[in-house]
Parts: sequence; structure tokens; C-alpha cells
Amino acid sequence: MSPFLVAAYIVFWALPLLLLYSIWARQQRVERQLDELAARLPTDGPEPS
Amino acid sequence: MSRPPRDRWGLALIAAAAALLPLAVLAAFFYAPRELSMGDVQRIFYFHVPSAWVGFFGFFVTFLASIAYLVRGERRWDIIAASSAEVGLTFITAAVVTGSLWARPVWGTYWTWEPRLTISAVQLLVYVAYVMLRSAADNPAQTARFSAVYGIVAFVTVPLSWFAIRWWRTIHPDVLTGGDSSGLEPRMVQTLMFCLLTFTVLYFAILRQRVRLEAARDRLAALRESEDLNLG
Repeated sequence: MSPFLVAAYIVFWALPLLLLYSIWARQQRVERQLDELAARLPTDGPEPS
Repeated sequence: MSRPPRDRWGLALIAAAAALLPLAVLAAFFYAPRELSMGDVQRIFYFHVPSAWVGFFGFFVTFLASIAYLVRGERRWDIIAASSAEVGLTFITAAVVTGSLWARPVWGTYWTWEPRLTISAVQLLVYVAYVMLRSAADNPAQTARFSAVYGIVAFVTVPLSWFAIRWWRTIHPDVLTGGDSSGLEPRMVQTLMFCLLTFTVLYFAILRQRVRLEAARDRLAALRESEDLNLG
């Protein structure tokens, strides 16, 4: 099999996966910050049971 | 604070893309016949053309969302424009890199400054600048307005790239609209169509995740503002 074909298909998989990983990592960071902030902020009332 | 509900559509799109992608690879390698003059390296086309298509489509969505933002001023259009440009840029990069990998054995060179390739290189830089612009500016409202204008102007590179192989003398093959001169057998066309569908689903799956990220950032900004008010 041509090495150019193999390299091309690695690129096809790697770039979208890299983008997905980057989105996931950024999402995790934002959600961690959201949780930290939510824990610091006073709540308006008791949590519903 | 309540978390946003589970994104069923997002999960469905990811599941659909994950199911379609292996099938597309199988079709490209085993269903499509071996091309006589180029051999196996021609199979790059089945992912190269859909990558370019999704890149163009992503920039088109950015163009439409930018217009919608300027007309209506709603934040959601700015989010869609920014997200779609990032996804489009990823796929255009894949198309340019894999096009070079195809060109080396077929043309004897990785790169030549012919019209289509030159416009593709310019387009890549234009959208890299768009993404950098969005991440560099301080004033969100001003960034959104400026980015919307930029997103509309930058879109001119898409029709230029599309028509480059029809308007000017170029060595780039015209696969999609070349008709009989494209040299594709029916099973090659079916494989290409299936790959186009697969990549379109993949585009929407990634776009949705990217939009959710931006929505989460907005919630974070709102919460920080609320914290500042409480402290103040």
C-alpha cells in the first residue's frame, strides 16, 4: 500500500480527533470553573428535595 | 446551579458519525475499484473531496451566521459563526495536507503554485487569521461585530476556490462537476457520495459540541458577573 495513502488517512483521522479532543478539554476546564464558582456563590434558597 | 440537560441530539450525531466513518473507510478501500492510472493513491480522493466540501460548507455557515448576527444582533449567531469557522478550518487543513500527499506521486511534487492551490493556501491563512482574531480581542461585542464583517468578506475565497478550476487553466482535477471527463466509475461515485454524507454528519456532530462549549463559556461569564455583583 502506498505510504502517501497511509499518511493521508492518518491525517483524515488525526485532525478531526484533535479538534474533538481540544473541544472536550476546553469544555472540561470551563465546567470545572463553573462548579468552583457555583460552590462559592450563595444560593437563593434551599435546594428542592 | 443546574447543569444543562443531556444533549441527545449531540450524542445521536456523534453515534451516527462513529458508525458511518468505518463504513466510509471500508467503501473507499474495498468497495471502490482500483483506479487504473493512479492506483491505490487515488483512494485519497474519497476523503479529500469530502474534507474540502465540509470546509467550504463550514465557511458558508459562518458567512450566513455572520449576516444573521449583523441583522439581528443575537449572540447565538455569533457562536455558530465562530464554531463553524473552527470546524471548517480543520477540514480545509486536512484537504490541503492530503491533497499534497496525493500530488507527490501523481504530479511529482507536493505543491505547485497553480490557481486552485494558491487560493486554497490564501483561504487557509484568511481563516487562521479569523480564529486568531476571535481569541485575541478584549471587547466581546466589538469582536463579534468585527468578526461578522470579516466572516462575510472572507467567504469570497470559497467561490473563488470552487470556480478556480473552471475559470483558469489548472492541473487540479474537476471531480464533482467534471461529468464524464472526471473518469469515475459508478462504484467510485457511490463511494464518494457516501463519504460526502459521512463527513457532513461528522461536521454537524463536531459543530454541535463546539457550540455547547461556547454556551458553557457564556454561562461561566454570567456567573462571574453575578459573583462580582455579590462581592460589590
